[in-house]
Amino acid sequence: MVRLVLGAVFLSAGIPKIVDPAGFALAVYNYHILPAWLVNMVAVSLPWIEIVAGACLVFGLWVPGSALVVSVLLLAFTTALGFNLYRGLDITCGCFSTSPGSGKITWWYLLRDGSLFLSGLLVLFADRGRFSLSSVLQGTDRSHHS
Amino acid sequence: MRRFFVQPAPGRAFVSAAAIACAAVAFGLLFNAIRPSGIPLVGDWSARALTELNAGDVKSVNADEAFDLYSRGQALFVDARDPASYRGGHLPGAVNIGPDDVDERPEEVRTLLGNGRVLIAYCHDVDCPLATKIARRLHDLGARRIVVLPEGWAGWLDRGFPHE
Repeated sequence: MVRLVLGAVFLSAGIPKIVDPAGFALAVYNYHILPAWLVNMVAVSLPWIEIVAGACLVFGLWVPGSALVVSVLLLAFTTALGFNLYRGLDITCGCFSTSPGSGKITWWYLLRDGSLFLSGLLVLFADRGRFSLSSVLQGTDRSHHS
Repeated sequence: MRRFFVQPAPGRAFVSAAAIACAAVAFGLLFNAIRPSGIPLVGDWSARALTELNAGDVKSVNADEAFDLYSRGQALFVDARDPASYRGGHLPGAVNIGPDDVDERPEEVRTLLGNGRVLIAYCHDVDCPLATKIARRLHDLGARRIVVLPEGWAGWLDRGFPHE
């Protein structure tokens, strides 16, 4: 269940960034963490990592790998967000929207990222393949066979 | 009893994580290369480019261009900083009006817009958003000849240009 929600969260986070790469690049730049030459490459690639990993989680494909990807990303997001909250930068999150008018970063966002990270770890270590594509197709639940 | 925590094979998780990430990055780069709205892989994040990005239709000038306009009597500076900073020193002949003052001081805004000179908005330096904001506001209100001086007060002083 956690796996499905986490996957859906990543899918919905990735799509707006693909729609508006320039807007997302600005959000990445505004974090003032990456060197300028790296900003656009990250802005172009990151949403696809989110989408692919999110889709894998939703369909239950390569779950340990995609859960690891998602956990590493969330750890990075949480660190970047926390660092900028700490130094008091007035920037937008760029998490689920690329619009400059969307929410400014707050501690609430940090809490959200932190809990998502924990759910990533939970999926990584405790997912039993329920509701996965293969179990749905076979009409079985793999957890009963192990 | 079934164990709650399955033992993942750590090596395999890393391998498939790397594979997923690489495939996604490759796809992202490819997609960006073929889509019409793709962005350059290395972006221009210089001060001027950033200001123009935020300023929409409003163009920007550097300190030399601003000084040139000023010395030909074609420029009117708009100081978007707070009144205390303005009193501490500003560009010659600058009018002090911030983005939040626009609604409260319609008379002054009308005078500005009716002025035949090029309005040059500035604030402290490139990291300050006020100049861009006021320029956009005035532009939306009908000012056609308005530009931003991204280097702002700090850049103007650096060049040793006159101030009051």
